[in-house]
This record gives sequence, C-alpha cells and structure tokens, in this order.
Amino acid sequence: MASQSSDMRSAAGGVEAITDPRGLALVARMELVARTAVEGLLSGMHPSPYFGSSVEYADHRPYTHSDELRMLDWKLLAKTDKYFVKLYEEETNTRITVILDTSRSMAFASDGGITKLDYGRFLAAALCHLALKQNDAAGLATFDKGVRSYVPPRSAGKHFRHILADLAQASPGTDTAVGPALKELAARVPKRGIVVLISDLLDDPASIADGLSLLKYLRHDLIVFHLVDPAEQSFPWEKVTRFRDMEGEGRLVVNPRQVRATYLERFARFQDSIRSACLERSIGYELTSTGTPYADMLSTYLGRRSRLTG
Amino acid sequence: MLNPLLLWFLPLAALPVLLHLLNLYRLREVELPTYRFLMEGYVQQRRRIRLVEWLLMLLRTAIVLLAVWALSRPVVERFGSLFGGGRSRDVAFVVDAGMTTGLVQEGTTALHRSREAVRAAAFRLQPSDFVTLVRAGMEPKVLYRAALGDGKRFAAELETLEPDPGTADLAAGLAEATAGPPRGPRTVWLVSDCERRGWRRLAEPAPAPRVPEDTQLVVLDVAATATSVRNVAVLGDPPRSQRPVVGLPVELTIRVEASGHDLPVETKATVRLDDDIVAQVPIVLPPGRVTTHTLAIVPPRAGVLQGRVEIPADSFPEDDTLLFVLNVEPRVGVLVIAPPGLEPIFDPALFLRAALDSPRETAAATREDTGAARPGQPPAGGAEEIARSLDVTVARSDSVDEKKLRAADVIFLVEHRLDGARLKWLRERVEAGAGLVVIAGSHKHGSDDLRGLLSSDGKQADSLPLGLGKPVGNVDDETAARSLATVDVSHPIFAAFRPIGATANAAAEASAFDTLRVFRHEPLELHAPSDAAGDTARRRQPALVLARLDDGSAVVAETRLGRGRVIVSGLPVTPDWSNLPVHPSFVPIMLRMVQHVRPEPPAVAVESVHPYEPAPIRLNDAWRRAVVQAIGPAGGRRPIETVAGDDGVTGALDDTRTVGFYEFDVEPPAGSTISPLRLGMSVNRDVETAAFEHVPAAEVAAAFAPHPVMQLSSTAEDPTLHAQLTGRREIWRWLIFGLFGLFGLEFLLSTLRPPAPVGAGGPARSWSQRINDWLARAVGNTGDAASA
Repeated sequence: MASQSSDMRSAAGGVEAITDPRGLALVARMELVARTAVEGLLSGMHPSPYFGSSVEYADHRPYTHSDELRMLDWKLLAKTDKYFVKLYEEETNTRITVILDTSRSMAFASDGGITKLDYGRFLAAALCHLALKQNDAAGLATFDKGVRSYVPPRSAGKHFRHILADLAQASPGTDTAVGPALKELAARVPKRGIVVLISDLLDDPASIADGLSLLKYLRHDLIVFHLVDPAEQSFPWEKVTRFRDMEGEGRLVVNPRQVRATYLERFARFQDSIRSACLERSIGYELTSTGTPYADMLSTYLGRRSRLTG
Repeated sequence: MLNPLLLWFLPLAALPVLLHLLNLYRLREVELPTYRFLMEGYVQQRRRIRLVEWLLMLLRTAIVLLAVWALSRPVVERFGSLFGGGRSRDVAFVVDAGMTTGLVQEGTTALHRSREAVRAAAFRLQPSDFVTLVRAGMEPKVLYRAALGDGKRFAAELETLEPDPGTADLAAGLAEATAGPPRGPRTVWLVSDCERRGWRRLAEPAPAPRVPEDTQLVVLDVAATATSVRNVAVLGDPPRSQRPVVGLPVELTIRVEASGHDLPVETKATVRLDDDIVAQVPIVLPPGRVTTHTLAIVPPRAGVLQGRVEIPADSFPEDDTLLFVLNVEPRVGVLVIAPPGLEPIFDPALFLRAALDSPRETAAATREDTGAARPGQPPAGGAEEIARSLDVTVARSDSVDEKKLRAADVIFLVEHRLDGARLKWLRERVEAGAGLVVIAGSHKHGSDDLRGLLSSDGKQADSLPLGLGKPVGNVDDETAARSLATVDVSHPIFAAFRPIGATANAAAEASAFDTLRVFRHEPLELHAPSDAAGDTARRRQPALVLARLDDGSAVVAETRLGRGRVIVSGLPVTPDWSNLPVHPSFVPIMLRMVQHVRPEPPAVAVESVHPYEPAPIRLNDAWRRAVVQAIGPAGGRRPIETVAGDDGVTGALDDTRTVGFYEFDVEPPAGSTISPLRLGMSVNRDVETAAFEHVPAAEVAAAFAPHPVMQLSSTAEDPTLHAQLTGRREIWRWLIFGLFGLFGLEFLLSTLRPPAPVGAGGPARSWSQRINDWLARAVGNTGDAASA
C-alpha cells in the first residue's frame, strides 16, 4: 500500500504523468486493481449494486409489505401458498458520477498508511469500472475549494481510461470547500443519476449538508464515502507533539494525552453530524477508514447496500 | 543546615526547563487535517492543560531541587521531633583522666582534646537529655548526673577535668557510668587517649559485660596522630622507711627508664633535700630498659625533710620527678651508768664509751662495715655511721640524776648499784620506751638483784623473766675459758655476723666469735613469765636467748619492760673476765645493741603512698588522745580520725589524690607535757613505665567483644551519632520519600486524562477523574464539552 501511495504521488504531476512510463504503470495498476475488485464482486454474491426488474431471474425472497404486487411470483404462490417475490438482474443505463475530494487534507496518511487521496482514487476507479461493467455511464469530478476537473459520464469502454488518467492527475490542492463544490457540480450534472462523493468532508457540516441537499433536490441518488484515516479516529500520539493544520496556518504544541479525549469527542460529534445530515436526506453514508483494504470495504458496502435495496 | 559544596548542584533545578525547551526544539511535527478538532479541544482544555503543565514543571523542578537537597545531607534542628528525634536520651561521657592524658602533643593535651570532643557532643544534646559525666581517673568520680538543662553546669564540671597522677581505671569508670537504670536510649562515650597502660585492665577478662547489651558504646580516640613519644621517667618507690637519724646516711634507689629512643640516653638525676641539691648522678639509659642507681644521702638535720629526685624535663614532665620525705630523728642519747671508784683499766664505762664513741674499722670482721647493703636486707649502716648518730654520756651510779635518765634514749647499766629512787626513774624511763642494756660486772660477787631494778615494789611477780646468776669460771685458768657456742645471727644485734649463705633466721655458730674467750661470766637465769593480773602481754612473754656459751648457759637475752627493750648480758665488759672488750666483735655488738633498743618513735607515718592510697599514721599509747591533722600540698588542714588499738592509736589520711608533700600535725592532748610532733609524707604519681603505646583499634574492639563498639578517631563529628545524640536530624531519607511522592504526583499529572464530558454515562468517577474535575474547577472549567 505504501508503494501504491508513493507511486500515486509521483504520478500526480499533471497531464504529463499519463505519458510518463511510471504514470502509465500507475494507471494500469489502478485499472488492474479496479477490475480485480469489481470482477471479484461480480463473481460473488453481489454482481450489481442495483436490483430491479429484468428478464433474467436472479432469486426469490419473502414478500414484504412495501413490495409491488407485480413482483409477486404467482406461480410459486399457487404451489406453496406462500408469498415470494421474484428477483431479476436489473438492466439500467444509470449515470454514475464519482466526486473525489482532492483538497490538501486528503493527502494525510498516518505512519505506514495510504493517503486518503490514494484510497479515494482507487475507490473511485473501482466504482467507475463497476459501473462501466454494468453498461452504466461513469463520470468523475475532482474538487477542493472548487471543482478542479470534471469528466462527464460516458458508457463507452475506453472512457474508463480517461477516468483513470484524470484520477492519476489528481493531486492535493488547497483547502476544502465541499458545499460550494457540490453546488457547482450540481449545475454540471444535469441528468438524474447516482452521485458518489468520496471525501474526508473536513468542512462545515452545514455547508456540506446544503450541497448534499441540492444534489438530492435534483433527484440524484447520493452515496457518501466519508474517508477517515485511522490516526484521525484514534489520535494515537503520546508524546508532546507540534501539530500543524494541513489546511491553515495553525500550529499547536500539545501533549496528546491531555487533549485526546476532547479531540475524539469532537471528531465523533463531527462524524455524527455528517451521518445525521446524510440520513435525514436519505443519502447513503459509509464511514470508510483508509486502514481497511478497499476491496474488503467495497465488498462489505455492496453487500449491505444490496440488502438495503433488495 | 546544608553542605554548602553541594549547593553547586542547584543550577540543576533549571534542568526541567532546559529539557522542556530542548524538547520544544526537537519536537515532532505532525500535519493534521483534523487540526480544528484538536484546536477546539485544546481551547476548551487550555487553562486546565496550562495549569497541569505548570504543575508538572514545578514538580520536575522540585524533584531536582529535592534531589540536590537530599544529596547535601540537610539536618534540621528545631523540628527534629518530627523526624523521630523527640525522645530524651541517656548519654554518658566517660573521660579518661589518666596520667598520660596530660601529654602535650600537637599543642594540646589529650585531656584538652577530650574536653573539646565532649563539649562538641554535648552541644548537640537537648536540655531534656540525661547526661552523665564520669571522670575515669585512678578512681572514677561522677562529676555530673542530671538532665543537661542549659548545659552551663555541665560545662563547668567539664572544665574541672584534670589528669590524675596515675593510671586511669576505665573499667570502673564504665561501671560507674552504666550504674542505674537508663533514662532513655543510652549511649556511652568512652573518650580516651587509648594508651596501653590505661587499657591493660580493660583487656583483662571481666566476669560480666562491661557495657549492658542495650547500650551503644562509642570509643572516641583522642590520641594525637604523632604517636611516637620520647620519654624518660623516674620510676619506683621512694626510699623505704629506715628511721633516718641526723648524720646517718640513707640509701636512696633511683629507677629510671627511657622509651621511644633508639639509642642509649644520657641523663642526670638530681637529688634535692629541702630544695638543696645533695647529689647529682649521671645515668646512661639503654632504650626500653630500667636502670637502677643507688646512692646515699645524709640528712643534715632532724625533722621533716622534703626530697626530690629530678631528671631533666622532657615531653612528658609529669613523670620526671619523684618525691620523698625523710622524717629524721635526732641523735640517740646514750647514758652509760657504771659503778664509781673503779680503776680505769677495770672500768667498763671506759670500754663502752670507747666502743660507742670511737668505733674502729671492723671491716675485716663484719661485712657491712663497707657500707654496702646486703641484697634483700635493710641497710643497717656501718658502725661508724651509727656511732656518729650517738651522743654518749657516762655517769656513775651514785651521781646519776633524774634528768639524765629521762634524757637518755639508751641506758647501759653496768654492775647495777642504783638506789631505789634511781631505780624507779630508770624503770619509768624504760617503761616509757627507752632501751636498757644490763651488763654483768666483775667487781661484785653474787647475783645482781634485777628484781629490784625491774619491779616497782621488788615483788617476784613483777620481775623480768630473767636474771643474772652467780659468776662461774676461773679467771686464772685459761684452759677453762669458754667461748660462744650459739649465736642468734637472725637477731639484729648479731645479724652482721651471719655467714654468707646462711638463712636470715639461722641460729648458727658464728666463726666471728671463734677467738672470743670467756673466763668468768654470770649465766642468765631464765624464769617462767608471770601470769599475774595486770601484767601486759608483753611482760608475760618469755625472754629470748640470743647467745649461749659452749657449756649451754645463756649469756645474752632480750626481754621487754613496758615499751622499752631490755637486753641482759652475762658477759662483763672488763678484760679480766673475757677478751670481749678487745675483741673485734665488741664495737659492732654494742652499736647494734644501741640501734636495736633505742626507743620506738612516738609516731610512725608512712612516708610515701600512691595517689588514692590511704596514708596511715600510728601513735603510741602516750598519744592516745592526741589530735592529728593532715596538711595537704596546698596548705589545707584535714582532721584525721584515730582508732585505739592494743599498742596505740591508728588513723589514716584517705584524701591523697593530689601529688605533693603532706604533713601530719600531731598535737598532744591538753595538759600533756609531750611536745607536738610533725611527720612528713609524700604522694607520688603512679608511674609504671615510661613507654607510651597506643592501643590499636582491633584491641579496643576486642576489649568489649562481643559488644559492638563504634570507634571514632580524634573527632566527635560523626553525622550518624549526631543524629542519635541531638535533636538535629538528617532528613535526607524523608527527602527521598518526598522525592518518590513527587515522582508519583508527576506520573499522575503527566498521565492525567482530560475529564470525561458530564453526562457521558458510566459508573462512578474514578479518582483520576475526580482530580481532573478538581483541576477543572480550579481553573474555572468544568470540562463539560457541551458547554464549551
């Protein structure tokens, strides 16, 4: 993972990075990683994150109150006198837009870990590959204080290479302004689709909520991957340390043991506020630790997602 | 009280600050995206954190200060009771006051150093401490035994310490110090110069431990570091009692020893009598050996003569002088009473006077005429010396008066022809102590009636146990001459004729009398002693025969009459009856008879004692009611209590602590015609040896084994003992405890977690949380996150 991070940092030099052999190697690696993750998923129990009406039978499940009656398997009802719903693999042309935070705070990585930006890059690549694999259109947007790049959703197979190139060029930018960036992107993503936000969300929760509300208002299906580093979650430092704000000029020499509890409490409260904002707006929220391998994280998430939507 | 040198470590107190600054410089820097949450927490906790940080810095500085303080061995005086020093102690100081502690080394005496050490130790005691000060001299003396109080009286008693004139009895001093129950934790300080002569008795096995088990014993050696002492000492006893008489030589033996020298030492002994130099003797002293030198001194006058034997002063002058006293008696008055009207050739007075007044050299016949003393025998002096001490007077029996009789010390009565009155005077004089020599005469025939002479009423009951019988022998028949067959050479009269090698008590034939011929003599008649009531035991004793002729008849015998000695001789001193008047033995025999029968002195006092020895004085019956006073060296008078006995009264002076000359002043009872008496006596230092030898520490410890001994050298400055002795307490142990406490507090504060938000749930708050709450309240911050 460390090598991935270093590779990614070295490749994050701009457009030239794509033509650079190392940049190409990074793109190839990213593609490989994404395919491995997604194909692994497809061959498992969750081939697709979305289930709906389709011609291809998938499975049965017990009927529940909110299920449409047309989904009932009448034949099975006649045979068994039990209510089951027949599941089919859905065929969609959904637009998936992955929004990746490339602010400076995303460059943070605890000792021996992967930066949140790298983690987000791999996660974004995997999701785009998964979407394209399902013949959906996949697009990518990056932002920090504002939108830095935008690749509109396409369903063409080679579009994935464009996305990868854009991901490779993403580098830590300036301060985070999630809310304004989401509002700006809301104007750029005109059609209804799925919007996946990958960010550490280190911004004003109210501003973030406003941005998310706007996208929700545009009837986008929103999924938020809230990236956190394990060190941010546990605040593991013990000795007196000089802390510097990654997105500001603040410096503070403090004994971590003196402030750990307050920090963790504040951080947990922040996460709760983000989670609450998402849940209030029926936005999918996934707290993602960069300490968890993205394959495992993705598998877990998709499994849970399928249960929720299935 | 601190060790000022260790205060140089005080700058270490800045170490925590320096380390803090250094750590700030070397701090790890972390870029934190979630900085704002940290900042929010910090702002909320800032006052509490700063307080904790300040406390931590203070604690760490205090830890360093405390460590430096503890290293400096601080002691407290005023609050020693807080550190276990409040209990009263029982401290005994046994100060060696032996003679050797007067030795001046390095500018001071050992006793001076002892005083300083005791003063330094006592200075640290508390007023409530029970203190005992024992002067361990030849006899121990408790100078102080009470609570210390303000210490002034103790200090005053301490100043009175002076070296004793003899060897200290340290064992007795320790016993005195530990007598009685302890008044608290007891410590006994034995302050000594550790000289071997003083520690010899301590080294002897003791039947019981010298120090109780629960007593801490401290031996403080105050000996100087330079232990080699070159010393020459006058040893030994002063001249023995010899009844010195004016003009008679007195033998004086000088014993001198040198120590600390590698080569023989040449010195000079000076003898003074009443400050007049009477003799000077050069002496060569081999190192480590005692040299004895004998000389004779002649008392120039009667009375008390104070003498000194001195050698040049050295590093230890106390043993360079020996004091002695001669109670010199006046010349002996001899009265020869002979019959009147005799031809000079047959006048025994002539021969007697010649023998007593003009003694001849009889060296060929007697060994002691050389003046040399026989080894092991009291010096008797030569005939010439004896003769010089005599005042001889001749009186006829019809003209002798009472005055002459009463003035005579020894009376020769030849051919007794005294009338009744003179016999009475004679008898009274003899009974008063005068000596009497009765010699047979050649001009009367028949037994001398000694009963009339020696009894007041002529009764047989009062007579002597001997008398003179009828003359036997024929002066015209030389072949019938007798000779002395048996002579008691153990008797002082004939002791000079004892053959070499014969025992002192032998009654053997004396070759010196081989040429003595007796043609006619009056054999002694020995009577059984009278048992009549009223007789003294002395008068009932049988006569002692001193010489017999070859026919077995006794011719010389001795008896007593009252306090006087009586010698009766059946050998006339005229040349017609024997050749005795011209025999070489005649003069020495006569002189020794005088010497032997002369009156005993009315009072006899010991002439020299060691310190603390009682000095006895004995008076005869005539002085039974006399008043006796002793006059000390300083002139002080002290009455002497006397006790009556069979033959007089006896008293003793028991206060002989001071070296010097003493006198007994004997005042006769009121109304008595006896003249007052004055006798001298000297007290000398008890000098056993001239050597100074320091006892090593191992022997000191062995003297008290298995009792533990803490040995200090030269100084009483021992911090451990100070802590035990004084209210001052070393508190470094407490500081170490405090240090650990600070360490714990520092650990607690440095690991302190911030307070959990109120309402966060959970069981009862832990102690650390409570401390946090307290800190938060102290800084006005409740720690409630919700309120921040």
